This record gives sequence, C-alpha cells and structure tokens, in this order.
Amino acid sequence: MFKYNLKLAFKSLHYRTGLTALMVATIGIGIGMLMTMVTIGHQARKVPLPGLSDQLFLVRMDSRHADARDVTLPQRMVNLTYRDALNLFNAKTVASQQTFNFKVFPILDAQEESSRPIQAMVDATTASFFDMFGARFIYGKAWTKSENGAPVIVISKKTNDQLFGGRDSIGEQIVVGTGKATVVGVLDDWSTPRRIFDGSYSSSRFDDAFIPYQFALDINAQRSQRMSCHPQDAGKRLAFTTTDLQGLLSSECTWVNFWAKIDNPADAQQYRAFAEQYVVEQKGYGRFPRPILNFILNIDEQYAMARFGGGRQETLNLLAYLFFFVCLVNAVGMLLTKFLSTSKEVCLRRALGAKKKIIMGQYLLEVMMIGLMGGLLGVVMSFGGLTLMKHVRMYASDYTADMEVLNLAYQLDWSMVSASIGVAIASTIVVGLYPVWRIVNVSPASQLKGA
Amino acid sequence: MQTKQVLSTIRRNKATSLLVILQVALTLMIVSNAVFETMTSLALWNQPTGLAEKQLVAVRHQVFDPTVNVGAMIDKDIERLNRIEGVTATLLTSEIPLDSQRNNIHTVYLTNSADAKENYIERFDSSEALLGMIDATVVEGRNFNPSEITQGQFGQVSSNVSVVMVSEAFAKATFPDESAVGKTLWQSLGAEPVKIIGVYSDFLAGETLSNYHTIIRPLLIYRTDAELNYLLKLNVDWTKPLLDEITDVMYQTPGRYVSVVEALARPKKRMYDGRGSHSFTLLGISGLAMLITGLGISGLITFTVNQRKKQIGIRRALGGTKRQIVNFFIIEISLLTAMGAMLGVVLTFGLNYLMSDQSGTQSGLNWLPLILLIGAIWAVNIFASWLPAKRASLIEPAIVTRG
Repeated sequence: MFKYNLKLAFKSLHYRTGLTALMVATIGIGIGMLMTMVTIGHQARKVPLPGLSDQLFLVRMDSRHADARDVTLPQRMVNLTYRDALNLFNAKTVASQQTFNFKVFPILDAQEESSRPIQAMVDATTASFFDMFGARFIYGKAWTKSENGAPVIVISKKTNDQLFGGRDSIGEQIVVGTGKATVVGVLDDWSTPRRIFDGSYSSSRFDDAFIPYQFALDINAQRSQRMSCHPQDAGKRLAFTTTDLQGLLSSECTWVNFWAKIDNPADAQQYRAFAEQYVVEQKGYGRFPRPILNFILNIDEQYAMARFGGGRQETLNLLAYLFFFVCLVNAVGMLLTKFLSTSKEVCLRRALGAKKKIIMGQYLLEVMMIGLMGGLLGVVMSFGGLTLMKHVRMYASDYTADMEVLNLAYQLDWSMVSASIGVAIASTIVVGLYPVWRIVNVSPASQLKGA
Repeated sequence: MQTKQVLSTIRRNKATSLLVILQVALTLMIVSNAVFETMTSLALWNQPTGLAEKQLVAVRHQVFDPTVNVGAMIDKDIERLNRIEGVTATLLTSEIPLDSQRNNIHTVYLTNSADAKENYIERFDSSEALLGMIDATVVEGRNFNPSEITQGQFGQVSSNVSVVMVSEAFAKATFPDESAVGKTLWQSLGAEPVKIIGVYSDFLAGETLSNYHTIIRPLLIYRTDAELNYLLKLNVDWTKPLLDEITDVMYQTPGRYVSVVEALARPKKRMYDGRGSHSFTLLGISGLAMLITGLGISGLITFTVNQRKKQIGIRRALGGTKRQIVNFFIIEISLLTAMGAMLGVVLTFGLNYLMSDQSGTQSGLNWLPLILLIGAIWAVNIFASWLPAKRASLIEPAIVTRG
C-alpha cells in the first residue's frame, strides 16, 4: 500500500507542476532566509577550542573604586591590575597553568628591502600562553618560562607572510617598537572566528604577534587605552599608555587579562575560594574597597552569557522567523488549492472503499516530499544567502575584514543542513494538517454526480 | 449591495479568509518595521560634507626610529610630495576632516566661571591653508595670517593660541543672534581666553554624523611619539596609481610606518557602510516578503475560484456580467486586505516595541509610510487576484446546467 501511495504522491506532485514548484520555492526561500540568519548566530555561538573550553577560566575581580557602579554581568567586570595579575601568576593554586596578557601596539619591521613595516597588534604574555590555548606552530616553538623577559617574538602566519614572504623566519631579528627581538616561532591560523584570549571575542582583527610581557614593558611599547582606572588616575590614561610605565604598574588601573587552566572543572570551586581569600588579604592592605565580587568563568560559561551580533543581527533574526512564518501561511493556501482540486478523485476512491487513513497517508507523503524538496532548495538558498551576507559584511567593514575569518563565520555546516531539511519537513507537515484534513473529509459521492 | 454578498461569502469561507488576513497582517508587520528601521538609519544619509573629498587624500604615518629628526623630515616630505605630478598641495594637520578620530571631541566654554556650560567641538590644528585646500570658505571675519601660525615640536613650542576660527554651525548654535567674530572662548577653565577671528563654511568632521561643530587653531605642531597626518590635494583627474606613488615617496624615509594613504571618499563611505548595508538587507527581505505574499494571495484566489465555480456559473446564468464577477473578487480581496491591515497595524506596533527593546534604539513609528505600505500591499493583492478573477469571469453559465 505504501508503494502505491508513494506512486500516487509522485504522480500528484506532477499534477499541477506549477503550483508544486511555487510551493517548493516558497518553502525554500523561507528556509533559506531563516537558515542564513540562524547559521550566522550558530557560528557566532559555536564555542571555540573544543576540549579546552571548559578548562580555561578568565579571572576578573572587582578591584574598582568604592563609588564605582554595580556590575552584574561578568562581561562588564574589569580585568586585573598588573600587580594582581603578577601576584596570582606567582601564587600556588589548583590551576595547572596560568597566564596573563595585555595588548601593545609596536611597529614591526624586518628591515628588509622586500617588506615594509607594519603597525602590529601584539599580545604581551607569558610562555605558558601557547600551550594553554593550544597554539599550533608552523615554524619554531614558544619561548620558555625563563625567557619571559627575553627579546624574542612569536609572529602570526599573516605577519610572517608580510614581513618575510612566508619563509622560515626563525632566528631573524626584527624591530619591535624601540627594541629588537628574535623570531622564535611562527603560528598557524587559529581555527576560530573569534579572538578569545583577550576576552574581547572580537571577530575583526587577529593578533599579529606575541612577545614576553617583561620585554613589552622594557621597550615601553604603546599600550591599549582600554583600561579602567580609579578616579584619581582617570586623567593619566594617556600618559599611562605611552610614557608613564611605572605609574601604571603601581596604579589601580585594570588592563590585564588573566587566565587559569583548571584541568578538572570540579576544582574551579577551589580556585574561586583561593581568589576570594586573595581579595580578603588585599583588603587588609586597604585595597579592593568594594564588596568581594569575582567572576571566574570558563569559555563555555562566558559563551552561554555573551550576546553576539548585536541589535542589528537580532533584528534580522526576528524578521527571518516572521518571514518563514509568512511563507508557511502561504504554503497552507497553496496546499489547499492543490489538494482540493483533486476532490473528485478522492471522492471516487472513497466511494470505491478506500479508507480515510490510506488517503491521509498518501497526502501526508506528498506534503513530506514537498517539505523535503523545499528543505533541499532552502539549503542551496541559505548557501547563497550566507555568501551574500558575507559580502555585505565585507563591504560594511570597508574591506578590512579578514576573508578567512569571515569564511568561518558564514559557513554552513552539517548540523545546519540537517536542521534546514528537518525544519522544512516538520513545518510543512504541521501546516499541511489542515489541507489534508479538508481533503480527507470530502464526503464520498458529493462530487461524483457532475463527473 | 455587492459588499453585503462579499461579507457573507467571507463568513462562509472562514479558513481561506483567515489565511489572507493573516498573510496581509504579517507582511505589513515585517515590511513596515523594516522600512521604519531603514528610515531611521538612513535619516542622516548623504549629508553634505562641505569638502572637496574627491580631490583630498589622507596620509597617516608614524616614526618609530628615535634617531629621525621629525621636524626636518616633515619639511622634506612636503617638498617631495608636492613634487609628485598630480599633487597640488600638502599640509600637516592634527586631524583629517571627514575622518577625525573619536577622541577628538573637546570642550570649549563661553565664560571663565565654574558653572560655565560645556560645548563640544571637534578640533583641527593646521595653518591658514587648510580652508582653501578643502574648498571651505570664510563666511565672516578673516582667515589666519601666516604670522599667527605657531610651528614646531610638541613640548618645545607653546601650543597656546590667542586666535581661532569656528564653523558656521557652531557659531550659529552658540551665538544665535549676533556675530561670533570678536567673541571669546575658553578651551579650559582658568586658561587664557582665545578670540574668534573668523567663521568658515561647515564641513563634516568625522564619524559623529551630523556634527558640523568644529574649531581650527593656528598650530602646526607635531609629536614624535604619535601619528602624524598629512592632507594632500590632488588634481581632479587623479587615478589610483597616484596613491601608490605617494606611499612610495613616504617610504623613501626609513624608520617610519605609513598606516593610511586613502582618498577621503573612503572614510565617507565608511560612515555609511554599516547603516547602509543593514538597511539594504532589510529592504531586500521586505521585497521578498511582498513577492511571496503576492504569490500566496494569487494561489488562494485561484483556489476560491475553483471552489466557487458553480456559484459563479449560477450568477452568470442569472444575468451577472463578467465585470460584476471580477468586481466581486476585487471587493473581497480589498475587504480582506483592510481587515488584515487593521490586524497588521496592531502587530506592527507590537514588533516595533519588541525590536526597539532588543536593539536599544527606538526606530521611529511613522504613519505616512505605514499608510503607503498598506496601499502598496493592497495594490499587490489586487494585481495578484486580477488573473484568477478574470478566469472566474470566463466560467460558462452552462456549467450549472451540467450538474
């Protein structure tokens, strides 16, 4: 019987081909639009560094001024002061490894005829950073723990391409701001569309190089102005980022990202207790004037709380859902038209003794096939939609965005492909229920007389 | 007469009627909100720049080699750049018009008292040549004299000035009823006052759109530890390779990094990129939604025509004209559209509330586009039901007699 139904369903698809095509197109366009927007969100929320994301904890502590505003969202909490970062880094904790980093913006110059200097975004960090974040090297390796103040540098693949034309540059000397450093490693691309390690989750520009933190301080490379200071230092930010290094290091300004790797996430509680104890201790020195509030969250937890894409993307998401709904309402109308135009046939079959169930089966099968085709078309559409949105984004960034990063962020994956087809079939069945119910309940013989 | 019949038909075909109403309401909700948001984000579209941005090029660079004599380098740069064929002038400026950076917002005060109001202004330090270069004009008072310009390295020469020029927009906003020329400003409380000697035509300062409040100080001061900006004016018919030539000339001096060499048309484009691309995406979605709705309505009317073949035949047999049949469907779709529009307006407001809640910015509810859109959807629906209605009118009266 199923085979017979299948045959009939296929035949019925051919009957009024135009209407079938229109229906498939409607569902396809709806699914395409929906999946384009959902995929953008899905890729944005995809947690990077699988396998490490539950072990890497970003440490933030409320060391702000007593009158500072209350903060409830962890992403709004300030980073650490240099002194706290150093204290935690040197403390014995349950974490297997710890690291910290801050951004500096020196100019890098290979001093070769063939390349021009670049203004680099550089992370000043510790030797443990590379292992903690699973960095992959094309050439060379990370510096060692004893070299946290040495004039060495690890550069990104892109920087190596720009400065050295992509060749093995290990051992080369390059100008780093007012100093010079030896290249010890060249990194491969990070396979994530977002920058994690600085807590920004930005998808715009990736770090060009990494240098030991003490070396960054020694050459007094220009630091990022993104820091939060106590009121008495608010006016000194410009000096702190350029000239007044000692002032910054001893100030209460927060500008250092701190990460702890806790191999067994269950030990996080122990680490949190340690951090709390640390704040209590510091309060004894008259620091940390506010109530204790530490946020020690792993990447998974941070991702669960973060809102990516912003208002504009959410608007598009909402519209895509509504648009899909319109397409479905549309499909109801078309299914009604299509099915009820075969009323006579159904009458005849019913009159000849076909059970309602069997007729229902046949029409549901047809609905499912339409859903399947709509879903497949939707996949093609969403591929096109994502490509389009990627180019829109490229245009919007004035062609400064990194195409490789965008490719990751606007990529269709198998979970989305199967979701498209699943949603298409399921929703077509739901909206098909009423038309199927109508056709099944056509009374036998009602239409036969005219035939 | 006809309307009454239509209403009863609508009542008898609840399902299809409801589908049309829903379709219209949802489409109106989507499209009108997309249009509202587009209008909000394009409200400041294509503001006059007040500049010859097509002929201007910004060069941003930084010296990292501490042994370079920056003052001598600047003189040499200007000489070399001006020698390039196609470059007509080169000028050192603290900020680039159209692309002034976010931290370039300064305060000025009208009085030197503790309760003085803060006026925000974007500041450009350059020479008397700036206005001529960007094609701005002096509308009142006078330009700087060459003798009023202070030149030199930051920290070695005083950056105090005694005279400034302000933009027309600032002058009008600050001194609404009188001339700004001759008035006094304070750049910070307790500082020496400065005198306004001239007012110039407005030019767009930068990212903060709609802001024409600017001030020019007669300072050609450079820092050795920060970015330096040159503004270049080119011949009207310049082509792309000229930018590469400028870059090459800049790199003839080692020990520096050139971050930007771009025509000012580019930062102008950047100002509108985000809002523009978002708006056009929204409009694209809207267009598709209208199309889908049109197709759906067309399908539904075809369906009702098929359903009512017999009634139509009877009407024709009883003397109904083809015109009346077509009219019947047009009235039906119009009534349904009106009902859908009413529901749609309610939904539109709901979605608008939801969206402004999400994006944090209120996109303006606006009746005029709403009414225009209802008209547009109505037109699409009539267009979509025209063909099926026409087909219905061709049903032969004889169909009744067959049954």
